[in-house]
Amino acid sequence: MELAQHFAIYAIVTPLFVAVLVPIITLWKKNWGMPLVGLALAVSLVLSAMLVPQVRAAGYLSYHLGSWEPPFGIEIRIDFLGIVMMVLISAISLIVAIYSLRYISPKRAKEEKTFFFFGEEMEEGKKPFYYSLFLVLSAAMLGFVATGDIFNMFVFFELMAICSYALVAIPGSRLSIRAAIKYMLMAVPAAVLVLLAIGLLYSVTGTLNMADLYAQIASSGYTEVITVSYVILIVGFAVKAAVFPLHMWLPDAHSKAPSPISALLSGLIVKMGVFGIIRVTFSVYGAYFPSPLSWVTSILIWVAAGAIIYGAIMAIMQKDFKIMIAYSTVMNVGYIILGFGLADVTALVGSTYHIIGHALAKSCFFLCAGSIISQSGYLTIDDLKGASRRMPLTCAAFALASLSIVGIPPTAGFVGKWYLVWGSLNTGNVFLGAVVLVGSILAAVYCFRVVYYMFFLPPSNGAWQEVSGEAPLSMVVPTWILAAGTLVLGILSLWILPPLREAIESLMLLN
Amino acid sequence: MMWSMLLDNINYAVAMVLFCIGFYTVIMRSNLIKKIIGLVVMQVAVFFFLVSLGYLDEGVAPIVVPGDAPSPMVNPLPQAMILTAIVIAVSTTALFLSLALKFYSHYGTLDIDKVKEDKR
Amino acid sequence: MKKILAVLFTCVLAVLLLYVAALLPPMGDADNPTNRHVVPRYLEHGEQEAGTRNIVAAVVFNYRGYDTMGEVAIFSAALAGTLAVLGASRRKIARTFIDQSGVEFSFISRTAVILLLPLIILFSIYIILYGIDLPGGGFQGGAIIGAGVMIFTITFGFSEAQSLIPHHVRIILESTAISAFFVVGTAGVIGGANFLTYILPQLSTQIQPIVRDLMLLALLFGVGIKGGMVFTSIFFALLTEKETNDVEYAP
Repeated sequence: MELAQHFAIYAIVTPLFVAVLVPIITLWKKNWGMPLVGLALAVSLVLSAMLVPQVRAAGYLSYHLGSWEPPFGIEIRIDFLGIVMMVLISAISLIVAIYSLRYISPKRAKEEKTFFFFGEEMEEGKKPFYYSLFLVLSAAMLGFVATGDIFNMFVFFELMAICSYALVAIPGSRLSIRAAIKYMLMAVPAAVLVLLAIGLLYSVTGTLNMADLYAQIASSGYTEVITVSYVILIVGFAVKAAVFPLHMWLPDAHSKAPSPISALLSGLIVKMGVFGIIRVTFSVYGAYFPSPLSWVTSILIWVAAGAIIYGAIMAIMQKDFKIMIAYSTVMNVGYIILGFGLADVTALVGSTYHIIGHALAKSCFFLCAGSIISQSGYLTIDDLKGASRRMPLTCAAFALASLSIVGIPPTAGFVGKWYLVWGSLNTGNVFLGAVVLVGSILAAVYCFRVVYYMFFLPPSNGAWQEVSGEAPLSMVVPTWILAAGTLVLGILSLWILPPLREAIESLMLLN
Repeated sequence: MMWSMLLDNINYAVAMVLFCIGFYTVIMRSNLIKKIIGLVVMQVAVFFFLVSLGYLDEGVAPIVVPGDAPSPMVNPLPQAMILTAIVIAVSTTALFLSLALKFYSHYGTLDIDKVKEDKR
Repeated sequence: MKKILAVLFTCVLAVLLLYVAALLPPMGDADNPTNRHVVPRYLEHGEQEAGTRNIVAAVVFNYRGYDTMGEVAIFSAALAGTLAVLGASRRKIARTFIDQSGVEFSFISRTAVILLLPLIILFSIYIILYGIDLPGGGFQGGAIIGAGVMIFTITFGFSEAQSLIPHHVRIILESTAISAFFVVGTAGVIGGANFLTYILPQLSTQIQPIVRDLMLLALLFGVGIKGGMVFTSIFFALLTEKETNDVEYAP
């Protein structure tokens, strides 16, 4: 089709373009900021969704920017995994953007008590920057998954990173700044490591295009250099993905950021790190699997198992609501890496579906937390006792999403975990299947404890009295869309899994 | 044999050493500004590595001069990569410095280890 | 304890990296993979295909223009991030350290700056425009503009500098780069080829080089001006010291 081939690039560039226009337009008309954000993200979502049948039919989409054929120009290469990620990113970004509208500009009656908590109520002057950074972040994530050139991947990786640093620090309070600094101190060296690895790779292959790199690596004699570059690249991406033990930045950054940003961070950006690992492993270094690089995946399996247990235990031990949710992210990243490390098609399908399910459920968690904080100012789990009396809708959404985190059928989380267990049994790792199940049990502990507090315990003395009630509609509806999404995607898995499985098989069978 | 190979690639070796020096600074120094300097040193080391990749013995700058006999030109691709990467490094440093400014205005010190105990 | 671990880790890293450095293809060799594979096309055909004599500019803006767009986006994000973190407010003229001291610079400094500043701006525009044929290009010129503004601000004070390039002007100019990329890219799409193509197949062969040069110029200029404005804005933001009424955020 004539016009349709340009959809991919416009899905990426439109939010970027609107992002630079937003500060200008808000100078003139303040209220147009948010609708513009929603519009740009909606455009991306529509364009990505329209590409799905095309990608499904052709296997992958290749678009040559500047009309230069690869490897001389940059190529946009989207396979089925890529298009699924694009739809996921644009959908969740749009939903969280709608939520942000009321979150950063809460309407409060004059006599209502206002709570300053981490400065999550934003100063007027910062709002245009919030919108811009939000849009650029979405554009960066879309560009990251769509590209077929490794240096371009690095550019979008850094773009994502810088937006996330700024968005974590945007409240400007002590704790946000400290969290952002800790985040930057780990993530910036990781990005430099990625650049170093790309340099090493370039020096022995002479090209930057991923498909071309695959061919060059397969026939290259510089095995040691390629191995070292792979390890460095994985470490760099692993910091971004918060793989234990490189996760130290995550609890602070995700809990001290404004809640919609926490939703994006835990739900999407962390997945970008994992996606980077997967994409690089199969599309670039594919010829080196299973040998001589299989020892890396073996190590990753045990790292992932450690992440699951450690994340779950730390989550159980937390008193602060958002920090608990952050440690739950550490645990779930463990699941995804586990599936990747097993190098089995079924396990990888489980990983991918877990990416989708967790993105929805975790974003929902953080949006619920944000609603609760925005209405009441309560930050700890103990304060959540009796929350359902005043905020029934939000608590119900949390309960639904926690079903997915624990892995109860028919939610999307269940599908992911089921395939992970099946995959580990396929490769003979019964112990790992047990780890997955134990993780579910531990997740049930920390999730259902919160649900129990919310629904079945009375509020502590005097708590929840001044809370006016449920969060505004524009915050509750996105939360519910995400929660319902976990259920819907669990059921839709019957349709999504077969093409996903094919895509992953072709991805892995490239070796 | 390894030593001679290393000396052939002396630029690369120096770049790697610089990288490790920068990395050590980021980990060990507790002053924020020193950490930022360490990050910049790491990034500059990688740029040095990349630009040395493009070197050609007896090559000239990749600018076509009309009329001259063509002589081998140095590789322009790493230079393009570095242009982009320098801008990225500058942007990251600017953001980090502004965070350090804010940190100082909150805590009155730039020493990140001193404020560890400040639990919420 | 931590120190020993750190030293150990760094040494291991250094040994690993030096080992790799030794194994890399020898530096400067014409038979390297880097010099054999993709690059010869850039060097041989760059001038005809891209219309520039500076091959690096050809690679940056033409062959790999998409990367440059990403880089410009990073620069915008850094500006937005810095302003967001520092909380630069628009309407008030913030008090800065320069204005607070109250001592004027000497007559010699001020005159020198007044005489030099136009030359600096001219030089930066020269570098931007001639980036096509000589070493130079967009960002380099932008950095020089930024340096010129910094010299002016240091000598004359923040209020003067800000009245020279007020906030709304800066905001509009800062959007030029991404807008230029979007417009040029879309022109490529309208002209029948892919995004960010300079040689539009639907035009006659006479006009093609002219359009290509115009597009390149637009991009170069956009990137240059944007670079200068972003450096200026970040500099101004870092200078302003708001009287922080940091509310003690209650736990």
